[in-house]
Amino acid sequence: MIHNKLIIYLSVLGLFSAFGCTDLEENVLDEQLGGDLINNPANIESLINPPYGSLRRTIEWYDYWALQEVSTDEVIVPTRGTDWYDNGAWMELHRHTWTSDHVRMKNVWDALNQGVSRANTAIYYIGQFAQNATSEQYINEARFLRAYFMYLINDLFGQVPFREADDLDFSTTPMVMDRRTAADFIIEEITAVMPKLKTKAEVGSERVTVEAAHALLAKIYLNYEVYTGEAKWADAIAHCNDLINAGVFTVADDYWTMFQKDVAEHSEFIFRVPMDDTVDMGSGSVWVNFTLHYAQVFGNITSTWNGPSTTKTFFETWDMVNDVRFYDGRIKNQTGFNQGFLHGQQYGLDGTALKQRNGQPLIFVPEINLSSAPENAGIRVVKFAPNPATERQFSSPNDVPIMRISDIYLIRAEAKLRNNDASGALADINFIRSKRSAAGKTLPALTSVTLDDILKERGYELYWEGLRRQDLIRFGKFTEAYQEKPVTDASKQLFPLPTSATDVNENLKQNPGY
Amino acid sequence: MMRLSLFFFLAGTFTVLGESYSQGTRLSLNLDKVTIKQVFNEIERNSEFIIVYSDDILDVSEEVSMQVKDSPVERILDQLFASSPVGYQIKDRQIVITRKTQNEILGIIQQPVNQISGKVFDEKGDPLPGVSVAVKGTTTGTITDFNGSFKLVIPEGGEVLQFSFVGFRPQEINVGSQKVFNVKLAEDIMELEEIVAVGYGIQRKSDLTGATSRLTEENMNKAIATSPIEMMQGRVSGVNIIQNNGEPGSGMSVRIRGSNSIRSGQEPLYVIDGIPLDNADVTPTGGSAAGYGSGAEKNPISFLNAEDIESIDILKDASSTAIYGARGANGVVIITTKKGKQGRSSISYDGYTGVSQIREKLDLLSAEEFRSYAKADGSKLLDLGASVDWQDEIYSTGITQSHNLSFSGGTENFTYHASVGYLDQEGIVKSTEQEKLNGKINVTQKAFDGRLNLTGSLIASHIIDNRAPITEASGSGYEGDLILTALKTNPTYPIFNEDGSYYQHAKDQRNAVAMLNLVDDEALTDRILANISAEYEIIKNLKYKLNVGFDRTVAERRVNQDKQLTYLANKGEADINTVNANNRLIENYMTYLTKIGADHSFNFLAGHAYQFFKVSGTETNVNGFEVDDIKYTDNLQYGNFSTADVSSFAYERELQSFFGRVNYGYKDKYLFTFTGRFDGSSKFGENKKYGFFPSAAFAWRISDEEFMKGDGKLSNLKFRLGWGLTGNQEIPDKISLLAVGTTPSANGYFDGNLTPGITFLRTPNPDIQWETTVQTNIGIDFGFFDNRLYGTLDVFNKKTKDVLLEVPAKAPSATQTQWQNVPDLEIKNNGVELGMSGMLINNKTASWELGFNISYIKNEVQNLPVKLIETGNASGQGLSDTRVQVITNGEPVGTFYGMVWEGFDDDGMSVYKMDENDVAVKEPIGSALPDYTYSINSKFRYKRFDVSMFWYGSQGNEVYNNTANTLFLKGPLDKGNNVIKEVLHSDENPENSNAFSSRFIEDASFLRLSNVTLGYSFNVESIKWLESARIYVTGNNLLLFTDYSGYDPEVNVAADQNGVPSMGIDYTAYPKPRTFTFGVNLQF
Repeated sequence: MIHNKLIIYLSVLGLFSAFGCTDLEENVLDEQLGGDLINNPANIESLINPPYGSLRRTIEWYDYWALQEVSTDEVIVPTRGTDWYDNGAWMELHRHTWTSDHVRMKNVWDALNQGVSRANTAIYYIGQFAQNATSEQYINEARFLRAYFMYLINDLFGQVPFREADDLDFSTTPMVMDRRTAADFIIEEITAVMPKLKTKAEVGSERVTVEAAHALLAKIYLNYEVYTGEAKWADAIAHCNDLINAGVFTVADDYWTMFQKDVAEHSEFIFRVPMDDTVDMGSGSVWVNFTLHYAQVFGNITSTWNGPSTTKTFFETWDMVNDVRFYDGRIKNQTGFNQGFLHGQQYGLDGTALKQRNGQPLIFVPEINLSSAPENAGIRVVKFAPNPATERQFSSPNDVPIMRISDIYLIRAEAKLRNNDASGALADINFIRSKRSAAGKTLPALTSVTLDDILKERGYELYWEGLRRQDLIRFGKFTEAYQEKPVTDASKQLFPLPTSATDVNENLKQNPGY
Repeated sequence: MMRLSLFFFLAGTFTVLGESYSQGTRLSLNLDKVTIKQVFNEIERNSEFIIVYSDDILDVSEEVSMQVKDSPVERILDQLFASSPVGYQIKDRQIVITRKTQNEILGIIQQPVNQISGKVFDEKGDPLPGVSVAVKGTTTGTITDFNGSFKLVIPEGGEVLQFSFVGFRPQEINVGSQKVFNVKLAEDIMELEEIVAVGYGIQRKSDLTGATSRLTEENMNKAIATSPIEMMQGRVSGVNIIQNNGEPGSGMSVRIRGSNSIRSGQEPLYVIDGIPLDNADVTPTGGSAAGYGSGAEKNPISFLNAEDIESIDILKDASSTAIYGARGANGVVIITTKKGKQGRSSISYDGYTGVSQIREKLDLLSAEEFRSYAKADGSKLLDLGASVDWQDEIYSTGITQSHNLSFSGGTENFTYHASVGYLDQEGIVKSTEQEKLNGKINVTQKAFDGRLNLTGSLIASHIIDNRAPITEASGSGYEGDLILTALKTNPTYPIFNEDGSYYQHAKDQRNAVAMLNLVDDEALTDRILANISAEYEIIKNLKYKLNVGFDRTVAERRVNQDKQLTYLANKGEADINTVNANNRLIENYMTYLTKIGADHSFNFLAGHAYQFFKVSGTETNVNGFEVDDIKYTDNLQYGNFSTADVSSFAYERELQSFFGRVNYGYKDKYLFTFTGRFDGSSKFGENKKYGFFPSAAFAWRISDEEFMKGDGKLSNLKFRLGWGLTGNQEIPDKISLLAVGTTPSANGYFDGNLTPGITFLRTPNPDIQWETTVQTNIGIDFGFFDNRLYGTLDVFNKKTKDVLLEVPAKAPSATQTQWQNVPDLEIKNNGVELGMSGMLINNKTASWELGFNISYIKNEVQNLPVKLIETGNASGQGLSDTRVQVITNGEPVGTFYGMVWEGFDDDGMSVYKMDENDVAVKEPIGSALPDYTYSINSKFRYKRFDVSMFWYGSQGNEVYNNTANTLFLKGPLDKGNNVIKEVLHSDENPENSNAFSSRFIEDASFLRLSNVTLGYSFNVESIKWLESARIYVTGNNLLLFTDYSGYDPEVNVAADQNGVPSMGIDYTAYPKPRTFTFGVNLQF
């Protein structure tokens, strides 16, 4: 019987000895949980990289770029039979019939807020290190980048949620800045960091510089009236003057040099997003694949999508003969097509006339029916030259300028004109036009300048560079009719806040009209 | 009063063997002043004899002494009963103590006036030994001898004779003046004493309080069932099983009582021989070349050999599954494999061979029809002169063969069962095949006077999957996988160029035959499931059990894509991907069975379990191969190995649990079950490590009540009521923790150098926990007419709360989304299940059993804090960003949502329902969940023939025909794609968009004749070495009644969005074959 008791005792012990044999702590094997990584001053480079990385999202054609361009007269993405309907996303953007459930708006909201958050992370964690010149530079760069992403959010949505960098409790509901508060906050931030930033001469235009700060301030002051109802033309002009007079930048004598495949630094560039088709950057705009017809393949570019085109409305504003910005043929021997506008019969690299899939000749025409267009409808645009030998055909080989000096001249021209200095404006615009002529092509100088001329010039100079919506709104033309788009309500000048954002943050109030 | 062992019956059927057991067995006893009972115990302990006696024949408390050495048992018994008025009879291992006839006692013939005699038979007329014969209301009784005969003296006042025997229906007969009784006992078809598996134990079915269903070999789907899950399909009410596609070994969606969650992880918990499995997908991914997706997920228990399965128990309600706590919410499937049986050795062979074919091809245009089509402008489509039926090029007849050999047997202390199986199943798409080798050994050993019970089992499998480039929805791209390519390819394209090479028109117009022949995709999966358990009976009815289990899977997939495929990004491409999974289990538990007084019985269970999982994997992709005559994967050095894409992952998790159960029965009529489990998981947040999952259930065996007796029609009636909380811990790993790391989009690129960026990869939630499901169940089990008609009706109400969801984070925050248990969100499933079966004919020559079951489930989402959650990513050109399904308040999970199509206008353009602002309205346009599902089965036997038939169906569900939305329209035809004939005559304008709308939502109700089997059992009485022999032919998937226009309405391709699963979407799913099988079962 003792035997039995012993066994009972042992098995009860066995039964419960496993108590506390594990604390069920989760042991993560394939990820670093942070602590050591993020608190190590040796990783300071790695902390400033992420907000820069987020800049690449702003040049993805289907994200931020699409909101600023497809909603305007510069870009139209027609449904072509069973291609490109895509849940109505492109038609809604073009016709201004979007709703708060539009997937592109949600994606852009998320991407830009991610930029803000990544900047915050950099500001906070670099701020925890022992400070030196580098850490101060990086914190200032991060503050600039945060302001830049907030500026984009403010421009699109008119409201900006905000957390301080040291707010790491993400369960709290962030406060929300209205459009004016946000604009002022951004100006204040940039003004505060500007004196401490490096110059382009020191770090190049791929990093945040004092010049980039001037340029961003010029842009915000230019749009300040739209944001707040109050004009600040003189401030815009002042920052343009700082940039133009600094002597760092020169307007290119050859417009198309900025858009070639292997260009990195350029005399026009104030702030650029470096891209490379040899490494995985997590993104890469497909500047040629998305617009070219299926038959327009060359080199390793074998997948083309026959998508975005430009509108007849915009196409017909051009001086097609004299403006070098309309056409450039230097890549034709590698691709079969030109840079600029692609219209009429298209040819392959070997000179054969290309055909549509149905056997008809491939002739690009400006007539487009948005909801059902044939394959050849729409004038195509190639601004950035592709790399035919690329091994990553969906990555962009081109560094993309998001601020450049020609834009600054045109901002100054516009601000001067609006500030009743027509002659100053005329001088700036004619300076740009004089640079856009070439052998055998003379773009005539203007003899007088109107706001309309400035908008047109901005279109010629900056088309497909992601600025059109902002420009149209400033000139009061966003709601007007253009090809395949009726007159729309003024409320469309702000995008709706995505449902996913208003669902979780009650401080966000949906914009009027949605 | 009467000690009648169940073993008696079991042993009684094994009389063929061991005729000479008693002669061969010798015993030595040295007993001083012990009771007769102790002598019996001693004999039983030292031999395999079982002694059966009746208290009123023999007083076993009488003291005797006995000293024998090496004596046969007869001598011992003779000595023991020398002075008693009793005799005995020995047959094999049974000793039956009988009353000595008066003759033997007195030596004279003197028949008492009240003596009766008789014989008891079974239905076939064979005598039944061991039947208890008692005189009702008295203590008088006896047991039939080996000829089924009995003699009895009816005492004063005795009027009714009661006959009872295990497995037979008891019978009462009035004595009257009759002297000789020939009684036939009917078998108890209801098998009330059936034993079923419950969590951590077994139970008599009659004692069950919860809603569970049991499948045994009798009623499982056999015949080309390569996975145990297929054997369950349609057989159990409340369990909806969808075979996602027709590929050999393909994945299955199993939903027990509806969808409880809006994430993946809705599969039930599988427990094989006591080891809970991990549902992690152990299928390595496939190639990474464009258009070659990962392929369909394989099902988690396909490694088991269908022939090795003894039974499948499906626990449906919370009172049954709460013992599995945080893993019980989706139901539990307990699979018990075959074990050896005592006293009986047998060898059996089962084999079959079958042919599979596509049930019905899609009705595409022939080359001739394609050629003759003229577009609106009169122009013709591109005609390259050939005439190819591309469907014929990829589909062919698949041959399946299966061989299984098993042997088993055992003595009282040792049993064994071993089997080997081989299955080679060719798919109906050329070059798809699954080959499976299985081995299984199960042994049990008793020791220490039978108090220690050891069990060991080892199941091993080796599976070779050969696949074609067929992918699920997302991943195939618009260029198309093999099936999409075959469907859309211009039928005038040749297969080969004149030089013998493949004709490959363009990157997006591939050659299906080239894809088949130039892609080599082979996956090898090895799995071992081993467990050993020891059970020790410490004191009477107190048992301690230790169970240790180990489950390991190693899988490797090698994909070679030949350089001749012109669509490849960079010449030939090779992928080697592996997955490695481990699951270790250690469990201790104690059970105690006791009775207080005559009426109160208790069964206690308490235990602890610890389980550890680790899964890791690697992926390698190398391209740039230009070599011939070598499989690229055999030597990656021939490719651009220096720029190989490689990745790996690993995770581990732990579960610790404490559980207990009390069964209480009052008078065996009122039954109560209480269970509770504390479950802790490493996946749960810091603040929520343990959850408690209780349940309670009550059952009332109404038919055992006095007031229900006497009504001959009602033979069984039981009422059940249960309630419980269960959890779903299938939440992603690591979500409670902050993660910081690098991702390509965070990298910096300055001065031409890429440098890593460190950023938050996850917003942590330290409060993350399991989802909780509350379930109430009311059920009735009933049987009429001696249980020839019986059934079960259950009504349940299930509500899931703390629903886990990846919700948008409050921007700006660490990441854009965060995992949360959404506070108010509820997912409700209310349902009714009815299963009935009737033995319409039952006699010696013929029997016919007909059964049906039907389930109705209503699913609804409530209090979703956001307007919609989208899922169901459509695939194909023009359908980017198109999600066809939503989860929204007031609608079921699986609701299709989109524009309402109203036909074509005069120009052939689609017209949609518009609102007052002339904007197309989006609204719910169907549901992938059926209103009800049902099945009918029939088993008919006539003499030696048997015919069975199984139908199942689903009513009121819709399917999104993504294939048609992408391919079968005027636009693609005008572009030069092939289409179904219907398109030729449609009024559609070729420039009409293929916007998703109700146009592509189709009624997917169906009724399928799943299986017809005709069998013949040979008369083998004259063949000594053969126990039984049966041959059969089976047809699977013979008839399908449906309005659905695609290959098969029973379909579910993966089209998840952000981890929210979709349902009922068809995009080039592998069609289900029609199969004819010829098979043999032999037992030696």
